[in-house]
Amino acid sequence: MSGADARGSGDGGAVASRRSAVARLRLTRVALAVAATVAALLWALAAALATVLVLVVIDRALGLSQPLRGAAIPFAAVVGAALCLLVAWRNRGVMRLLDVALWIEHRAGSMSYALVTLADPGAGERAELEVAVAGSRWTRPLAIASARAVAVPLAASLALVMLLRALPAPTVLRLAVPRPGDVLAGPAAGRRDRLAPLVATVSPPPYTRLPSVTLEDPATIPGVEGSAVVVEGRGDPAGLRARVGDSALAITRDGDRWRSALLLPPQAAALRFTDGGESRVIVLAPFADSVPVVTITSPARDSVLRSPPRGALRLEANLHDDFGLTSSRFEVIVTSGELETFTSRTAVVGAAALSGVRDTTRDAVLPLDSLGLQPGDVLSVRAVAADGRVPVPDRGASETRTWRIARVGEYDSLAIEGAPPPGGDSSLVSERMLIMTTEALQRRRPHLARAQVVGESRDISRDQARLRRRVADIVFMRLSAQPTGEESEGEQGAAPQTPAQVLAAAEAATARATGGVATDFSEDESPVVAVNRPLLEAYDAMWDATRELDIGEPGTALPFMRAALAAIQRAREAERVYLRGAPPRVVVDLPRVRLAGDRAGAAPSGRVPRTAEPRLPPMLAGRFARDLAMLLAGAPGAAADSLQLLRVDALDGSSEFAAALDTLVRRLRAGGDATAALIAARRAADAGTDRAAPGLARWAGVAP
Amino acid sequence: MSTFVFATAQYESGDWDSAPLLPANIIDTIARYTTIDVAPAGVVVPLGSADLLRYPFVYLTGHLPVRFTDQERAMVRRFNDRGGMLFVDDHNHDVDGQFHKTATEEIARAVAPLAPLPNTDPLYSAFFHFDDGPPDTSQELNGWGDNLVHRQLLAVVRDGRIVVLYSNKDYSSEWNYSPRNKRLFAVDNTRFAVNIIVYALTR
Amino acid sequence: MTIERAARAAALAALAGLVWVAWAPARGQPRVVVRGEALAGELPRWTSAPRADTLALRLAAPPAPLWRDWLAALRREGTAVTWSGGFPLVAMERVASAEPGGGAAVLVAAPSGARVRLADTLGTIDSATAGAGGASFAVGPLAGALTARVSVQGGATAAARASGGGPPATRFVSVLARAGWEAKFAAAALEARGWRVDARFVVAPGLAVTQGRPWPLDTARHAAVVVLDSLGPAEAEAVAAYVRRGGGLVVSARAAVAMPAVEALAPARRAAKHRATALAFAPNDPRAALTFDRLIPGPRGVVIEREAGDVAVAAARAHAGRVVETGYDDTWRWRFEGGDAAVAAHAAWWSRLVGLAAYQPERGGGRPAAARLGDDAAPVASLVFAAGPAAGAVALAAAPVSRGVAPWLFAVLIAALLLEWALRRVRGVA
Repeated sequence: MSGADARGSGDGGAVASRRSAVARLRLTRVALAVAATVAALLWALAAALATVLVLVVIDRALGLSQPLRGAAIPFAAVVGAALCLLVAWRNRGVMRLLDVALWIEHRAGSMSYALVTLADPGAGERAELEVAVAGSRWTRPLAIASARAVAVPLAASLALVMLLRALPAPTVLRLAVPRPGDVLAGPAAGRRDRLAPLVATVSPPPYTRLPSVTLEDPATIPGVEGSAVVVEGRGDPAGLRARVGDSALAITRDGDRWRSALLLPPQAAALRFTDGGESRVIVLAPFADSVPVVTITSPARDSVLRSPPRGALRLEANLHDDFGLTSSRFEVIVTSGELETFTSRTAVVGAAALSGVRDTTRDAVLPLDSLGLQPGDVLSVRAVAADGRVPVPDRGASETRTWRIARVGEYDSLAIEGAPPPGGDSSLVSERMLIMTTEALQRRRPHLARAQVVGESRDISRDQARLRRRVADIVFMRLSAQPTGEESEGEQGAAPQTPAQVLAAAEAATARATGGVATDFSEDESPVVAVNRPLLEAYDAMWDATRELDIGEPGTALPFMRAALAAIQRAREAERVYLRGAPPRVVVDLPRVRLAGDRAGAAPSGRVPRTAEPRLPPMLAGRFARDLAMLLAGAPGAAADSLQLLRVDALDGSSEFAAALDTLVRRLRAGGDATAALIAARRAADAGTDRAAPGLARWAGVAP
Repeated sequence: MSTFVFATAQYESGDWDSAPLLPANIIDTIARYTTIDVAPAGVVVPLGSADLLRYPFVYLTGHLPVRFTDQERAMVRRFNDRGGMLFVDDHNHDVDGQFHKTATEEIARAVAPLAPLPNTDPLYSAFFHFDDGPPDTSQELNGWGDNLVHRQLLAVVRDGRIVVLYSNKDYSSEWNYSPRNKRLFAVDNTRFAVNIIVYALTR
Repeated sequence: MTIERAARAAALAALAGLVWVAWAPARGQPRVVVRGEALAGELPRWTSAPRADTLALRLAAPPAPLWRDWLAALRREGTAVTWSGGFPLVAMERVASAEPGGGAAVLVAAPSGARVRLADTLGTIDSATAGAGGASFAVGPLAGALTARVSVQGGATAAARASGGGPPATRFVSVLARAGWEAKFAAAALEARGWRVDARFVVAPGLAVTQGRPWPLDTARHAAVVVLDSLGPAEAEAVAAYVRRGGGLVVSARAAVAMPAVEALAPARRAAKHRATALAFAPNDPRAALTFDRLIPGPRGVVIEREAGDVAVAAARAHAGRVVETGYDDTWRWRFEGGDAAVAAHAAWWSRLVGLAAYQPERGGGRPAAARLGDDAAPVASLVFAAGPAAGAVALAAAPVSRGVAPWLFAVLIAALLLEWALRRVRGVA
């Protein structure tokens, strides 16, 4: 190979060797960069793990709040990233060929900086340098250096991981995955660690579709009435007691914790835990599930109709509930009748199941023809909706729309003055009283002598006879406007007429009144009989009753008397006009009747005192004064519990005072300075009181 | 003067005036047995009106379904919250009737659900002594209405005191007569009304 | 020789000085004027070695009770004490409320226009500008002792102290009336406010609904009696006797006029009806919608409440007791027809009425408030009692005479004598 060739080949070989030297250098640079990167990342990991470990130790000792714990992992990540950047910055030389060449020269040796020269881009072709470099190997130092760079942080990371695994998992999880309720895995709080800290989990009823809430060390547990509440604390449950009001709660063990479960009551109450001489009070502050609000929009108002309506009635209502509706319907009542006799029919239209919607409008159609409405009927319609409350849903109802169908003739005059009841009314009442008197005699009969029974029976008979004559008078007066043929002057008068004689006299009176012209009556009855049939039946029955009473047989007289009463009532229903308006005004003659009654046996029982209203602000202020005294006497723990009980009562009417008490209790429990909270609570207790006035009062407690 | 005035409730939905003679009869009874300062005539007061609050004792009866308007319901609630006492009597004497069903529902909505009143309640010894509980009426004994003799009244009780007294015994029929007819009774059947009024005035 | 004579002259002068120091105070030495802030140091020294006839004090504020007592002792031992100061007069009394809710009325006597600030251990409760005689306060829950600080223009202040006191013992109220709405709801109002009520509601001759032991009236049980309807002569006399023994009475004017024994103790006489001036029970003036019997207060009567210029409620002390007379007959209407707060307001009004009359053991007996340990309810009055009335302004021009010069004179005397003796000896030797 000629020199030129050699040179050329040497040059070509040198070029090839040079390239290969630089290439090797570049490869080495890549390897070093990778090692540096891996080392930086491992250092970052170690730093983060170390940070986490330190924070776990701090949390274990001091108990960090949830916000701080939530920031722990990000903080550790930041620390790791910072260290990673620092290490990378320190190793930034791996990116420069010159530095890498120097690094190799220092470790591989014997190249006399030939590699460094070759690394210089202005070096040109230097075959002899290539030759000097070609024989050098630096793989081993590279491997050792890379291993060292990675091994230390790797070992540190592994060691930290082992340390963290050796710690109790809940302790680490408190930092790694902080969540409400993990306060129980925190540091012990000292003597009262069974009662502090506590964690309460409130699970609202499923129908509300509200999420569960976990509260750490709560002074108050709010929630929907009926929510399931689970309270947990650390330690063994032996010796622990829990009460809500007067009801004791069961406490069970759950691993290394105790737990107690209850349902939020309808009203605010105090949940008290007692552990030996220590106690803790938590206020249960439920809020009620509101009753659905239902507003009927169609029909829009009540009405009085001249005649029974036909067709269909459109019903519409707006519904609203705070948590969700489950069903709705329209309820219809049709009432028929008058006086003392009524019948009712009910119906439901537009019933629907609702899937928990909070606001909706429902409608339905009520076919009026199917109701068979008649004059005098009353149609009542309302809308009803139910929510999902458990165990018993709340039902809300709208106002009722009432449609009255006027009776014949009623609609012509709506302003009707009450007429006095016809004479039949007093007959009804009197016959009823006679029945009661007779029944009383019949009950006493076994204890009375026969003569007495006969005497009293005849007394009743005389009253019955008087009543019978009055019935006869009514029958005659209706047609002839004249008194009857039967005497009305008492038993000393003419002999009483028989029913047939009365009937004959009535017929004769009718003929005189109508001039002998027949009037169309059904069943060929005479007008007297047709119009007065019930009263005549009563008259007939009274005759029979009188006969039995006269012979001293009240028991056998009773069926006749009851038949007479029923007949009188039928007559009254047939003839009396039901009037709405002002009832008769009866004024009692008080001076005449005052103390005229027999008070024998009267002995009024004693009155039982009412309980004081504990929720009145002054009562609350008084209790607050006693708690203040407890505080000043150096018993903050007892005062805090008492203030909690006070807060239960304040929740109902003095919300500002209740809020101030909540703040005060928290400060007392935290052990800090509670003066400002005390002043605020006192100000709230005194709210609304006019305290100061110039001048001296002449009477203490009266403003001057 | 804190004169006792017998007030009858006038409500929108039913026949509130179905016992027009009852107030005078009860007034007469009160005057006969007590020295309570009572007005000689009763008044009618709309249930939805603020005037309801002028009469701490109110009587309500009827045959037809009872459906309070929102105004009536609010006023009844306020009336009871202030300390008023409502006496309701089913003039149908029918626990399956619409008056009973609707009136009990409305009372539950406006005040609180009714519950049986024990026959040992102080009401039954407030003046006269009714050891067997509420006295029976002739309507019950005659089998009218629901054909039952009701042994207990119903009531809403707050802090040991009756705020709503509910009767299925049809005292509205039993007492709905002119006081002049009392002379015909061996035993005055309105004496239980004295207990109700004395209870209302003193508890 | 000259020095010897001078020494002898100095000795004689020192001797004369000593004689003068020993004798001069007995012959009318001027006063010793002491500032108030120096009392703590001066009084003990004065007690062991009086330096003058008169101790004159210039005070910026009333001294503490301890120093006042010390001054009183000095006076008794013959030291004349005078004082002067620009501080305002102040006195305070805390009158515990008899109502079950507790609280108290605080009366602070102060010069008109002075600023009065009431505080307890927690801080300021309230403040007011004094009117005629001072200022009045109504306070609720207290933390520790009460302090009333009075300040006037110019910055001078004075303070009075009173102990907080505990809650009152709940006692009974007896309500005597015919059965009716007013009696029922008055009793209900009192019970709601925590009073323990004995009651007797007459329903018929010889028949009454009772609760507890309303009769006989006993100041050991009953703090007050409420009479809404007239009683028989014997019972009325018993009520009057109860009041004379210290009981409290709340009586309606209509009932009082029918009971001569009670009417004699009443603070007012009944006049014509005052018709209601409002149709509705407004929250700010609910009783304007009530009709009442006008009252005309007698010489002992104190007006408690007016309505549209007419007296509706009046009170008077009657022997050891108190009588509150009300012209209202139907306050129950306010409870029923008033606004949402009417029930509570009606109960508060009745409770206050009974509280104004109720017998409170703390008030009775004539024991001064300052007898309670730690109290200083009337510091200026106590100072006058201890040190006499205030004198004119005491000038500080009079040179203080101190007994501390005597030892120096003695030392000069001894030194002079020794010097003379030494000079003689030296002279002799020379």
